[in-house]
Amino acid sequence: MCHWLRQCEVQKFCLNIYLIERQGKLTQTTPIFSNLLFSISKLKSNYTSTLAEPVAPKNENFEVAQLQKAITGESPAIRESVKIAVCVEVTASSEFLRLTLLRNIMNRVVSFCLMALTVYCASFSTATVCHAADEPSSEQRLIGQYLKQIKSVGKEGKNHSEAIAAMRKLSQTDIEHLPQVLAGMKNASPLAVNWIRAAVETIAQNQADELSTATLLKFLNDTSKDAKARTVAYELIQGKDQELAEKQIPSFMNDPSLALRRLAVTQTLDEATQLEKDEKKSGAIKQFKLALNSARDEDQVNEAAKHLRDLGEEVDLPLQFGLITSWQLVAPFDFADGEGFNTVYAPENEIDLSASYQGKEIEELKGPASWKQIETEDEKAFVDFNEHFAAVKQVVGYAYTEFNSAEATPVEFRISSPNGLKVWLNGKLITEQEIYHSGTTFDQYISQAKLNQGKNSILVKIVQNAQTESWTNVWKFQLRICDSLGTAVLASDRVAAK
Amino acid sequence: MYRLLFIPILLCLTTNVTADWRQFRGNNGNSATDSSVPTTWSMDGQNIAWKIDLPGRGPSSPIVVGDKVIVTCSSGAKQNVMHVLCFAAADGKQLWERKFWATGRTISHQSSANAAPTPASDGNLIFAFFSSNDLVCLDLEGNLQWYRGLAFDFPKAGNDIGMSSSPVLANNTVIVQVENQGQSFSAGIDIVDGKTRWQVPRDQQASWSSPVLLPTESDSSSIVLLQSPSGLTALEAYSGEELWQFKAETSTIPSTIATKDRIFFPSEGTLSLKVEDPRKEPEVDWSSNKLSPTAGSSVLGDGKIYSVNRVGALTCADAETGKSIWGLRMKGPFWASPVLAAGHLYCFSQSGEAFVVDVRGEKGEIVANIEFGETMQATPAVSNHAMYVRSDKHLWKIAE
Repeated sequence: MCHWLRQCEVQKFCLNIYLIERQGKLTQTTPIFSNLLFSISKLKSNYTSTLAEPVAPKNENFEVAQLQKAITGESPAIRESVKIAVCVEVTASSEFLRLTLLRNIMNRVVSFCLMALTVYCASFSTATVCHAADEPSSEQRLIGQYLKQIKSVGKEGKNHSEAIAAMRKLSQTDIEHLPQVLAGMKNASPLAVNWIRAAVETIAQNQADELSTATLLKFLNDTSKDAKARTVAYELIQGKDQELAEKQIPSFMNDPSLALRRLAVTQTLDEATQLEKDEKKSGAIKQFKLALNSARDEDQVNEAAKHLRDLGEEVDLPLQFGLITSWQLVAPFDFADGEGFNTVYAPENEIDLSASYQGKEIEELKGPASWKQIETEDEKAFVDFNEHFAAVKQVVGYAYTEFNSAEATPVEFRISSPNGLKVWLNGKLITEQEIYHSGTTFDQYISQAKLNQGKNSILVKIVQNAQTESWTNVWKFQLRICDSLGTAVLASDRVAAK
Repeated sequence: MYRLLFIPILLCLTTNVTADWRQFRGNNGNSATDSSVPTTWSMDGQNIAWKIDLPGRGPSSPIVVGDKVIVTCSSGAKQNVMHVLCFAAADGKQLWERKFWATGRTISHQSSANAAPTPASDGNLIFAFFSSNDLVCLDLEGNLQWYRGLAFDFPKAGNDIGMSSSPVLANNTVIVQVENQGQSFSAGIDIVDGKTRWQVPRDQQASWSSPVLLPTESDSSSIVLLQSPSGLTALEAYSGEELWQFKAETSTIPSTIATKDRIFFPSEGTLSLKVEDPRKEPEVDWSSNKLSPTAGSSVLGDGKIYSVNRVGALTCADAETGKSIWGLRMKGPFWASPVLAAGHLYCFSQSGEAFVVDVRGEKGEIVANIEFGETMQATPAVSNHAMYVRSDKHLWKIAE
């Protein structure tokens, strides 16, 4: 085991602990790892509070207790697979604060590591003894088989017959095995997750008297478990003990389950609103900022932002969401009775921002089509071709931008538009939607993509059709890049600019 | 002796069947029943048997199967949590709830929700369909039989204004219409194993109307009518084989009514088609531009057809001739289809105002006007002298 101080910086404070497997491979599937992150998330939360308003962390031994609980609940195989090394990164806004925080942190880290070491060593001595006891029972093996059959359901009813038979059996499982059934949601397809959820709810309903909130709470607190399964665990606790469920909500502030996180953000927004009503401005601002930074749902972000602005704070919503505001535009090309959607116009072959093209001849837009740089000032970062060119129909426009990424990373492109659209990342088509004027909403189309480290080129094609109703007089789009939770992924140069 | 025993059993079954309200606009899809329900009530208790909170929104209608009331809702920041709830008709006690996560698009206009289509039942199984094109089959005890994500299979099947087409059942097949600008189709799903029995492509245009059954001699020869902006298509329910098409510019929201000898469908008002042979294309009987259902579907009962337009003008016409008999004005707009119960028409406006219209006389007369104070888009269900009304927040049983 080793632990060392690696880096100090001014401006902000953060603390990260990494668990490294014996082979040196980091895995997020290890429950211990996730529990540690959860514990450290708590610790960070306490220190974030400290930074804004110096107070002592609320729970001195939280992370140690959390770790102990997590490890003792796991099988020897998992315990045996983990070797812990701790790396601490600390930055503080002042030398004084930094030293104060460091002292506190190091105390925690030492306690934490000692506890981890103790449990780790204990796991070696008991591994052999416990191995036989941890062998799955025949019932557990059967449950595993049922789950496997259900998880095999595919498109167009594939493997339904086997899954239907397995479902009948699984729904009769003894409630003692509910955590195993819940855990089966992990890595299940969106279809299979619903089958398993129905089995869980049937088991819980039919054996409601034997439902153990302690067991469910343990499952809920293990953030390595599937986010949806944890959400179901929470709802089962809620059905059994509303008060106990509500006590858990504050810990969901940065939860990987968006449904659980939403509960915590709602609570924080309520608290902040009350503080605002009570004219406790600084407290309200602090809580609204907390909500803003944890919220991933558009409505909650907007609510926090509105209150913060009312309280005199500046909020950059495009930055918060990761909306791209800077673009090069060129238009108009011909819609050509719909053929324009798939017609490969020059910008799709090569990006040459100095080039001009023979575009569609329109009275309102005379001359060749050439690129123009724009910076949208729209609150929602919509890029409006009508505004930058003319409110015309049956046209095609392109938008181009470059995105500097600090690292190669998987991301989501979330685009909204009332028009037909295509999006390319580094020349590769990542989405196309030949849908016209059928509603526009935030995060309308979501596509998975991978950013390269360094420069990434993004090309968007927006197609306006021939509909004549007044509400179809829109030719625009909005694009943001984020992770799977909706957390903004920002260009490295944009962060610097801000 | 056996015959004597058989008759009461048959009567009993018949009574049970007619007491149910198993799909959108009732078992016959005409929004009419002989079952009488209170013609007035007050929100503070008179003739309100019970009222319960719902965990989510939804323009979907309740259905009634035996002594159970089934309702669907959707909740969550993105309307991606789908609820199927079952209540005891007698006292409103919740018997079970099942929740699922949508696998398709859940985006809709703010006035709609993922739980827009009304579930359907054959008396033993429940088929809950959602705007996201998720199709859930449960038994009456809440046990999942199977689950399909039609947009999981066809990711571009969806409509960001929100889908609302409700399924129908015939010959062991649940029939759904998924008509939109993306991947547009209709499918017949085997109710036993949830596998696709047939699938036919449809025009790539949005449509919110629901399929209806054209009555035939037996369930095994069932014919389903699919309404789209370009007209009506008749298919064999079991095989999906196309029997005929009737081309006409057709409304995309209100749905068709079909009897064994007539089809009334919303085309530039209402078009009545005369059915000689259900397997052959029908001929136009009459048309009326005064019967112009805008969102809610028309009602057929007692030889008359009733329709409500967007602004709340109610028109009554003779179903044989299409001639207007009377009209009156209510305060709209209306999304819910009216329901006819024992000579009274029940109309619920979007703002939550109920109008009870006595239609037994020469002219219709509004005999009650009751304010619910909540957004209402769902068509009510009527069963056993009770009416089940749902808003985005509550479900009421109105009964003496």
